[in-house]
Parts: sequence; C-alpha cells; structure tokens
Amino acid sequence: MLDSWTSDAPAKLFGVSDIGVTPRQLKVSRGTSDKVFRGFILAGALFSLIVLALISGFLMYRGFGIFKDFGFSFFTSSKWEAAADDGSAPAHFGVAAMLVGSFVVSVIAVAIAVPFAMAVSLFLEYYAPYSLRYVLTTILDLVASIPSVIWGIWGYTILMPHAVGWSKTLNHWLGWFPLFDVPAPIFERSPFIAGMLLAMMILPIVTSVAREVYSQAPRDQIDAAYGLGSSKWGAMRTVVLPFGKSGLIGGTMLGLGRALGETVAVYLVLNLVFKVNFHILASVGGNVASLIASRFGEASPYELKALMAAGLVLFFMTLIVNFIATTIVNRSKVPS
Amino acid sequence: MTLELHGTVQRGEFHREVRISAQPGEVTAILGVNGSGKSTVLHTIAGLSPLQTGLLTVDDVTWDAPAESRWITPEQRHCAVVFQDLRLFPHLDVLRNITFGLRASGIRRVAAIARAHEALAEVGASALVNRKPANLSGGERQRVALARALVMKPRVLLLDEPFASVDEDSHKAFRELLPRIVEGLNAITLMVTHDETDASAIASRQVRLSPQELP
Repeated sequence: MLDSWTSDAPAKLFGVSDIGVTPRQLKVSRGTSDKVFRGFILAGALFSLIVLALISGFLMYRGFGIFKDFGFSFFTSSKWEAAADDGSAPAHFGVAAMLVGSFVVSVIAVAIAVPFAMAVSLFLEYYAPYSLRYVLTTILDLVASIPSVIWGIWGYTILMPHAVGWSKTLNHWLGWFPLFDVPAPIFERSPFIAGMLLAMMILPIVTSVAREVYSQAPRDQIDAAYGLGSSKWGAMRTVVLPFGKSGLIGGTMLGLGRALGETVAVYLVLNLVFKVNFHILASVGGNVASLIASRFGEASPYELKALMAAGLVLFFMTLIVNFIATTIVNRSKVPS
Repeated sequence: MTLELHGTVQRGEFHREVRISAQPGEVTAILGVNGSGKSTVLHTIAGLSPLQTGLLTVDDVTWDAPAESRWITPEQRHCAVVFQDLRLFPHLDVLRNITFGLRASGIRRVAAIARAHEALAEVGASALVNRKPANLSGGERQRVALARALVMKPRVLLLDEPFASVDEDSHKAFRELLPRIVEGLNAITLMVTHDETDASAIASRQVRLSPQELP
C-alpha cells in the first residue's frame, strides 16, 4: 500500500499538481520476514509463468519445422496425411477441420451447460432448503471428479442411443436450417452428441463458479429490491444476475477451456473426419485434442512434429480464450 | 384503516417487544437511540424480517401472524422502503432505479417511465434521469431514493433515517419537502429517526423505543 504513494496523489491532495511540482518518491525499507515472504510469493508467481514458457517453448521447438514446411496452410488446410511408406505421396498436414471441430463442439457444450448451470446455482443458493443444497452440492462435486474416460464410455453406451433419437427429431423439424441439416442420414458420433457430453462434463465447474459468485451478491441490494415490492425472481434478475455476470463469464470460459482441451471422451463419441463441418447432427467432426490422442501412438517422427504443432495451436487457442475471458470479466464488473 | 404492530421483532441475534400503530395521511416517527430496534421494526413491516410473536395488520388484513403461520410476502405488501444507506442499484441509471419497483409490479414500461418522470419532478431531481448512482452527490442520491419509493404510490411508506446522508442545507430542504409529499400520498408513513427536531417538524405522532437492555 505504501508503494502507491510514489504516484502524484500527495501533490494532488495539496493542490500543487498543476504547478509543476514533482511528486515525492518514497523509499521503503522492508524487514527480513517481509523480504522473505515477498521472495516466496514472487517465486510462486514466476514458477507458473516459467512452466507456461517451457511448455510453449517445447511445443515450438518440436513443431516449428511443420510451420516452416507448410506455412499458413497448416491452419487453413483440412488434409492430414502422413507420407506413404514407399515415398510415392508426400505428407500433408493441416488442422483447419480440427480447429473448427473444437470450436463447434465447445460452443455447443457451453450453450447447453451455461443456462443449466445458472438455473442450478440460483436454485442451490436461493431456493433449495439447506439439506437439499448440501446433498446436491456434494453430488455436483462428485460429478466433477468423474474421469473423462468414464464419461466417454457412458456417452457412447447410454447417451448416444438416446441422443440419436433427439438428433433425428431436430433434423426432422429444423432440417431446413443448415446447422441441423445432414448430408447422409447417420446421426451417431456427431458434434451435437459430443457437445452434449461435454456440457455435462463442464456443468459442475461452471455451476460451482456461478454458485460462488451468486452467493456473494449483496444482501442489502436484494433487500432493497424486496423493499420496493419485487418478487424473488425480480431480485434475482436485477441484483444477483448482474452482480454475478463477470463471475459467470469467468466460469463459462473455464468450462470452455476444458471443453477445448477434452480428449478421450470426445474421441469416443465423435467421428474423427478431416473435413470442415458445420452440420452439427452429421457424423463428421473432430477436435485438436482427440486428433493428437488418436494419432500419437502410431505417428512417424515427422507426423509427431505435426502433432506437436497442433498441440501448440491448441495451447495458444486456450490462452487466447483465457485472455478474452479476462478482458470480458474486467469490463463487465458491476460497480458496488 | 391503520397499521397495527405488536409482538416480538427480531433481526439476527437482536429481538425486542414493540407496540406501534399508525394512521394513513400522517407521519409516525419512531425515535430511539442506536440499537433500540428502530430499523428492525421497519424491516418487519416490509417483510424483510419475520415477526417472532404477535401480529401485524394493515387495513385489517393480516400481514404477519406467527401463531396462525401467516406471512405475506414483501411483494404483496404494497410497501416502499427508503433505506438508511439508500441502496440504489449501482449498475442501473436513475430512471431504471426508479422504474424498477413499478416494472416489478407489472406496470408497462411506457407508463412506468412517465410515472418516474413525475416522481423525479416532485423531488426536484428531473435533471438526474440518465446518471448512475456513483455520479450523484449525497443529496441527489437521497432525492432519487425518495423518488424510487414515492413512485410506487405505496400503502405503507417506510423511511429509515431519511436524512442520514445529506448535508445541512439539503437536510433543511428535505424537512420542508417531505411533509408536503407525504400529505399528497395518503399513505401510512413511518419514519425512523434519532433527531428530535426532524420528528417534531415532520411527524404528527411519535413512538419512542426505549434502549434495549443488554442480556
């Protein structure tokens, strides 16, 4: 706090800022324990940055050759072909289809999960009796700890047979809209099913964050709404939801981050096809993470480089999502 | 046609016995030192804290009767509260702050805006319509809070230390403004204050809450 006095605050305080007086700089001498603590937390903060830099450095080092060989077409091409053993066909790698697939599946997941998470968290925080709240919160925490391979198996064996029926219904009624149209009547392993599964997987984390921020909504503002004749829902809409907006966006982006990076579950319920596809009910899709998982075991050294490059793209995509999230969160904070 | 409250009011750990009655068209001042339970009485009438024992009726309608397990929700009480700390919604501009209660009670947007402009004019705050609470002075915020309650045309108007956050000049202005406004409203008005001068100048009846003895 003392450091903030190196600003021109004292000058302004005494009304001398406009007459060219340079603000006084304070030198702070800290005690040993303060220095040790500062060093400790600085090391902690730097450690995460170092890990981040090491990961990106490693991926860049291993994948750089691919960017050099394929240039911008690595991002725009959907073709993923290893070189033929006899050398008759050269290798070609592009992640456009997987990038679009990652985006489509994640957006579906977020679009389904966020309204549910809002409803669940409002219910838990403001409507549910204490005993029910305790039980439901425990169950949600439990759901968050289910491994993704279990989700994948459940999605494949239980969710998919039902979801195929829902997909057919959507296609029947809304097939005129390109998003719900299918080139061939195959509805298994579609982005829609993968998105639904991912929605269930990210629901606990989004709900948990939303519940946390909704619980901190100012009680006096809620009372003010009641004091003006508002219903409970009116108070939620006017006070709690705007107050929790930035937190909800943060939680959504956390969920989106998980959805973008999800591997095994998506791999099991999504048909990996190297083709840009916006027909969410069609059995065509993929994402970067499941591409890496599916190819890693049998990749040639050169394809391995391509997978590292794909990993780097995913890494930066996640960083960009987090950066955008932070910007939105900072802009949408409700003044208190 | 009165407000009758007798019984035990409670908020958190605090509780006390009260007996209050109030008539429409007049201001009843509730006086007492800090911690005597003045605000708790208003909270109980507004439905923000339930009555522990006793009875609360308005116009012969029971609002709160623990013995009968009867409790009317705040939105059914036709109350409007001006809180001591005002509690304007910080993310809404003045107009939306004032129309909030009307919109919550189902009044259409256009009609709500028209009434909000009338209420703002009544308290001399028409120029503030598009400002956010953070950009208002203490006196301006007070006017907006008053307009936000008056616009509801409530059956019961509850004022909790309504002059707490204004300077001396604004205080005098409000002391003259408030009785005029309340007279036109014909509502049951309860005003919490610890200022004897305010109580004498504005209220036609006074209820004094004795200091609560510590257990």
